[in-house]
Amino acid sequence: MSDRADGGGQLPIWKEDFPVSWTDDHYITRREFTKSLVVVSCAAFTANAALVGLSALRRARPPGAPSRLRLAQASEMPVGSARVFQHQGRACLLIRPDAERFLAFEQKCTHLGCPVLYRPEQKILRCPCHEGIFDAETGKVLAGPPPRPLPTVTLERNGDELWATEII
Amino acid sequence: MGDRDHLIAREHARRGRDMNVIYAVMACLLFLLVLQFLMLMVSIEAFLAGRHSIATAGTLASGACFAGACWLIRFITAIRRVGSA
Repeated sequence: MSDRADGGGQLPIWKEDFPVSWTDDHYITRREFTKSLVVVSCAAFTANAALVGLSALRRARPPGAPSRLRLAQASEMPVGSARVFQHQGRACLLIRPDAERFLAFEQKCTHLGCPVLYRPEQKILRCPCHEGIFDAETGKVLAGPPPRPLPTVTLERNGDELWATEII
Repeated sequence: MGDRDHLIAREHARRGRDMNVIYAVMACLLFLLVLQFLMLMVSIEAFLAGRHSIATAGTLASGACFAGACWLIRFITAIRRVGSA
């Protein structure tokens, strides 16, 4: 590889093989940077609009009949116990806080998705990952980083049988 | 010769002003972008919580920021056209 011998201003052979303009390669112009900012702004707005479109689609879909799932016999569950079950593809927790009542919530913590655990002595649902605390009566957030309450599972009781219907 | 120097000085001053305007516009664009990402975070959180009205309001605010960014780009383009005319 050698430069051309003539001084006629022609490119050396190696520059013809590697035609890179190093000055332009290193720098982005102000115009390109500003245009890229507007493109990113457009992308953020499009993402926002897609969320609104998704939520409109969900509301427009006619609600089907809620699926029912037989959970357990009420007599099988001691007071203060909890049982995990799967309903509509989501892990849920059935608890018995006292002799008369049964409650059920989605087990996934609304912070980062860890499964919550029932603490009957404190009447709370506790997330062990980041110490999120939910009220075992209502599913509301009592402490910690979770931003939203736990979704509630509607229960029906037919005699001694417990059935889960919809998740609110 | 004095006129030529005067013209050159005026041209430099005009270019300096234009560059200040362009830098100010870039700063405004960055600010609008930060606002839009905040709106996006709020909309995602509202969507996950099922609160659709907040997601809609966030989208409208994001749209306003995007419209502002487009106007700023047009403003810069207009300055460049006037300057090169």
